[in-house]
Amino acid sequence: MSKIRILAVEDDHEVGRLITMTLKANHYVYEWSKTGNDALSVFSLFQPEVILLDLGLPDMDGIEVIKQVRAINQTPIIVISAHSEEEDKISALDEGADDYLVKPFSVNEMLARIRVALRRRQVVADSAAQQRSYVNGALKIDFLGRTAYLNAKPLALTETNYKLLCLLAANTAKVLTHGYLMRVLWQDKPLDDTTSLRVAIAGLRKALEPTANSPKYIQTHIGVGYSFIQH
Amino acid sequence: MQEDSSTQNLLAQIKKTQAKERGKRGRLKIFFGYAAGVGKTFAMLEEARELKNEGYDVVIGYLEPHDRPETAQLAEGLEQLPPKRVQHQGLQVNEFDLEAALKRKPTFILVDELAHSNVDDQKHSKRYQDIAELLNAGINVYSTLNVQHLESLNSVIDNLLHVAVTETVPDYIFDNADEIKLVDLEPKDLTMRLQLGKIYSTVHARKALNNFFKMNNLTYLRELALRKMTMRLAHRKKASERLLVCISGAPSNRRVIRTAAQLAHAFSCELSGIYISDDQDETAHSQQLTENIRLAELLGAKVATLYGAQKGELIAEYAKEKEISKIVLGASQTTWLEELWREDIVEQLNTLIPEIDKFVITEKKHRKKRKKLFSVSLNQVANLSDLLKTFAILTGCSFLGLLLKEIGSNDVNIVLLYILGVMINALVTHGKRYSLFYSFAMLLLYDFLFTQPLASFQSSPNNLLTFVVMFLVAFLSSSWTTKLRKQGILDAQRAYRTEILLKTNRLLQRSPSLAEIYQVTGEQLRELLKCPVCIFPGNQENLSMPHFFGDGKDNQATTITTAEQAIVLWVLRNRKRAGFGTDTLPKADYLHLPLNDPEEPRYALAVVSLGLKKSVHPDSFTLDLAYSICDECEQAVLRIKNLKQKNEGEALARQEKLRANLLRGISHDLRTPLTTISGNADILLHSEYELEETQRKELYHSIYNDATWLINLVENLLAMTKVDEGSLKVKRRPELVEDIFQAALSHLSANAVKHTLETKIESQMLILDTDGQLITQVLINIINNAIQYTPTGSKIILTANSTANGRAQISIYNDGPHIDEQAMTKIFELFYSGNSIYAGRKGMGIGLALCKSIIAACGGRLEVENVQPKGVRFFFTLPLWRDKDE
Repeated sequence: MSKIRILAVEDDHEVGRLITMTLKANHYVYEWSKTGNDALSVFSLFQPEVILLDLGLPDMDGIEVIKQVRAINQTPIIVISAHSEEEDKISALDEGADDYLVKPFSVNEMLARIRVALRRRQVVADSAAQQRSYVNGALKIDFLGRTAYLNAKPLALTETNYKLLCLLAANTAKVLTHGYLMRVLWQDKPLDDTTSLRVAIAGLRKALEPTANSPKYIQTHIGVGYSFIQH
Repeated sequence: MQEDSSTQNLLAQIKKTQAKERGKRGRLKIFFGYAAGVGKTFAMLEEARELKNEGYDVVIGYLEPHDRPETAQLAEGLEQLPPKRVQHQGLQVNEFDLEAALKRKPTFILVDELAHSNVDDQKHSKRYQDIAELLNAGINVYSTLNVQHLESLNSVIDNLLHVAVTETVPDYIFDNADEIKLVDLEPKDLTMRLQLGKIYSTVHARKALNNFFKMNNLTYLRELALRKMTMRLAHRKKASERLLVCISGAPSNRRVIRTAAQLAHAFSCELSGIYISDDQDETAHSQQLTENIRLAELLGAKVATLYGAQKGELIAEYAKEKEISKIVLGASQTTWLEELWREDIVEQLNTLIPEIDKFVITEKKHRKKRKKLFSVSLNQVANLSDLLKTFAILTGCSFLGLLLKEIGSNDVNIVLLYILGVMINALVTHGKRYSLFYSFAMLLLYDFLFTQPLASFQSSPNNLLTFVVMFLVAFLSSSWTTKLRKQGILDAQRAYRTEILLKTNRLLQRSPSLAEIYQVTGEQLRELLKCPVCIFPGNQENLSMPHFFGDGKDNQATTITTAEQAIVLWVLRNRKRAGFGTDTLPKADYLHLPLNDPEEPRYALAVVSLGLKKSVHPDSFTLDLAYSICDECEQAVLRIKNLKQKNEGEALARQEKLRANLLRGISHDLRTPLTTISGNADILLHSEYELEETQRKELYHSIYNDATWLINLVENLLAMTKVDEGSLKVKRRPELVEDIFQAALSHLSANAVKHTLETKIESQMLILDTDGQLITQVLINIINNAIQYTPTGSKIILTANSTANGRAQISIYNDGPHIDEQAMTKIFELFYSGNSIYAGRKGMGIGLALCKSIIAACGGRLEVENVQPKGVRFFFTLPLWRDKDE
C-alpha cells in the first residue's frame, strides 16, 4: 500500500516542525509549504490526499488557497486557525474546508482529524458508486424509499429532519456551518435565526441517539456548526 | 439671581473656537483704519486678488458703492454676489445677501463695512451678525472697519470730535477677530486724496472735510486706532480679574458703562454688570435701561439683575460672591442737601467691601431730568384712584376731627388724627407725591377748620411752629411707611421668585433623566408665562423629538411652523438666542433660548422655545424668572451629562484596574509552569541518557500537564477579554443545552476519565438564548474545578431544567467534599484559589471569577451551595429562547 501524501501549509517554523514530525512518526508522506503560493504549486505536483492549512499566511489569505484548490478538486482540507480568527474559520468552512483545528491543538487531535478526513474520502467515493443508500454504523438511509433505519427499524422523521439527516450524511465527517445548513434548508429565514435548525437537530438527535448510551452521530461545534460522525 | 447668558455664551463660544475649532470655523480678517479713504477696501481687494491667483475660491459678498474708480477696477475679475434689493422708505436699497452667500459657500468672502446696520432686518439687524453666521458656516470673511465705529470708543469720539456715530460694532468682534490688518495713511495724504476727489465726489467731500476730516481730528483718530491695535495684542492675555459695572436707567449711565469696558480692556478684566431694581412697578424697566443693559452686553459684560431697596448691600453681596476685584459706578453731581438726605452708595460700599477698588465716574445731569419731572406730574393725573383715596382719607380725618372738637377734645388729638391719616394714606397709595399732597392739604384743612380764626387760612404766628412740625412729622412718617411698604413688596417678590426657583430646582434635582428634566422645565415655564412652550433637545447639530407643552389653544407641536423650526436649528448651531424680542429674526412668534454647555463650543444642548408673541407679554420680572428657570434647566441637563460621563469614567477606571491586576497576577503565575516546562525540557535535552525510563516519562508528563494548564489559562483569558469589553460581545443566539453540554464534555482536562460524568437534560428541546461558546467555557471551568478538587472516581452530574419564569436552570453537582464557609464567600473573587489536595497545579483564581462575570453578562447569576449529606452544587439560570415571531 502506497503511503498517504499530506500537504502541510504552515508559516510558523516551530508549529510546522511539530506537524511534520508527527506526520513522519505516523508514516505519512508530507510536503511542507510556508507560503500560499508555494502551497498551490506543490499541490498540483504533489497531489496530496489531505491538506493541513494554516489560515494566517504571509503572502495570501488562506481562504484564497481553499478557493483555488476547490476549483480543481475535493481534496479534504483541515484548517488550522488561531483563536482570534474565529470568523475566518467559519468562512473557510463555508468556502469548502472540511474540518478545523484551533491552536493550541494536541497532535493526537490532529491525527484523529486526518483519519476522519481520509475516511470521508472513502465514503464520498463509495456513495458516488451507489447513490441509492447510505450506511453508517447502525444507521441506514434508503434514498429511494426516503426512509432512514436505525438498527433496521424505520425512524419516524419529519420532512425537515429527514432532509437535514441526508445533508449531514452526504457530508459525513465534514463540518457544516450553521450558515450553510440555514442556506440549504431554510432559504427564506435570516441566517442568524437558527431556532429552526436547533429544533431540527434536537429532533434528529432524539431519533438517532434515543438513550444516553447510544452511539453519537451528531457532533456539535459550538459557535460553528455540526458534523456527522462516521462509525 | 438672573444672568443674561447670551453674550457670555457668545464670548465663551468665540474663545473656545479660537482655542479648538480653528480648522472648522471660518476666520475673520478685519482691515482696520482710522477714517474713510485710508484704503481699507483697496487693501482688502488686493489681498483677495492674491488669494484668487493662488487658486482659492474668493467671492465679493458686498462692496459699498462709493464710486471710486481705482477700487472698482480692482474688483473686476472677482466673482461678485448680486446684492439683495430692499425697499426702504420708498427707496430701492442694496443690501448684502446673506442667504445667497451661505448657499454659495466660498472659501473666502469679502463683506465691506462691518459696522453697517441692515435696513432690512428680516434676520439680523447688524451686519456683524451676518458675518458671525458666515464664520459659523466655516466661511472665511474679510471685512473693513473704521475706529470710530467701535462701541467702547463711541463716547470718547462723541465728546472730543462732536460727531455722533450711530453705527457701532461691539468690541468683542474686534478683539476676537483672527487677524486685524491696520491700514494706515498719513493724515496729510488723506486730506490730499480727499481734495482730489478720490474718496467722495467733490461736493460731498467739501462737506465731509469741514466736519470730520479736520487735521487734528484725523490725528486723534489715527492715534486711537493705533492704540486700539496695541491694546488688542495685550488683550490676548487671559482675563484674570473681574470688573463690575453698576448699571442704571439714566442716559448718562452709558458713559459709565463704556468707561468700565475700556478699563476692563486695559486691565484685562472680565466685565460683569449689575442692575439693582428697587421699583415694584415693572413698567419702570424703561427703554433707556434696556438699552443700557444691551450696551453692556455688547461690550462683553454678563449682566445680572437683582431686586431690593438696599442697593449698597446687594452690590457688596454680589461682588463678594462673584469675586469681583474692581467696581465702576456712576455718581451724579449732588448738592449738599441731597448728600444729607441720601445715603451715599460709595460710602456704603467703602464700609462693606473695603478690599475692592471703586472707580467713580461722575455722571453729568442730563437735560432729560426736567422732562422726567414733567412726566411725573402727568403720571399723577393719570392715577386717579390714588388721588381719590387721598381725598377720602383727608375728608374722613376732617370729619372725625370736627366730631372730636364738638366733644371738646384737645387740638393735639386732632393733629394726631391727621398724622394717622397720612400713614394710612402712605399704605394705600403709590408714591411720595400723594403723601406730599396730603401733608399740604392737611395743613390747609387744619388751618381752615381748627385754628382761630376759623373758616379762614389766616392764623396766628403761634401756630406756625405747629404747622412746620406737623408737616415734617407727616411727611417723614409717610415716606418711611412708603419705604417699608416698598421693601415689603420687594421682599414678597423675592420670596416668590426664590420659591419658584427652589421648587423648580427641587423638581429638577429629583429628575433622573433628560426627558423628565425637560418635562419639569416645560411645565414650570408654561405655568409662569401662560404661553405654549416647546423644548427641542439637541443631538449634536440636529434636533431630536421636541417636548411640547400647549397652553390649551395650541396643543400640538405642529403649530410650530417650519420657519420657526429653522430658527430653532439656527439657535442650536449658533448657541445664541433668537426670535421674538431679540435682534435676530425679531418677527418670529417664539422666543428661542439655547441651553448651552460651556464645554461644547459648536452646538447648544437644547433649545427652549417660548410662544410669547401670541400671549400676554410678560413683565421683565417674569421674563427674568423664565430665564432663571432655563438656567436651572441648563444646570440640570449638565448634571445628568456629567453624571453619565463620570459613570463611564468610573467603569473605565474599574476595568483598567482589573486589567492591571490581571496582568500582574498572570505574569506572576505564569512563571511557575514556565519554569518547570523549560527546566524539564532542559534536563531531557542534556542528560536524557542518564535518566531512567520512568523518570523520563515523569518529566514528559510534567511538561505536558503544565502546558495544558497554560492552554487552559489562555482560553480563560481570552474569554475574559470578551466579557471585559462589555456585554456587547455576548452574541446571543438560540443554543441547544445538549449542544453546550456535549461541547463542554469534549474539552475537559485529561483527568476527566478518572471521574464519572453524567448529564441529565429535562428535554432535548431546551433552547437557551445565550452565547454558546461562553457558557461552554463556564461549564468546562466548573467541571475541571470539580475534577481537580474531588477525589478520583467522584461523580459529576450536569443537569438542566426549565423553570417557571421562562428560564432554564443549569447545575453542576459533584459528590466531593464540602467547601468551608470562609472559602465559600471568596470563591468567586478574582485571584482567589483554594488548595487542592488531589491533583495538579493550583489554579490562578481566574476561572470562577470569569464564570461569574460571563453568567452575569448573559443575564444570570452563578451561585454555589453545599449539598447535604455530601457534595457541592454550582448553579445558574439563563433565559430560554423565545421565538421572535411570537
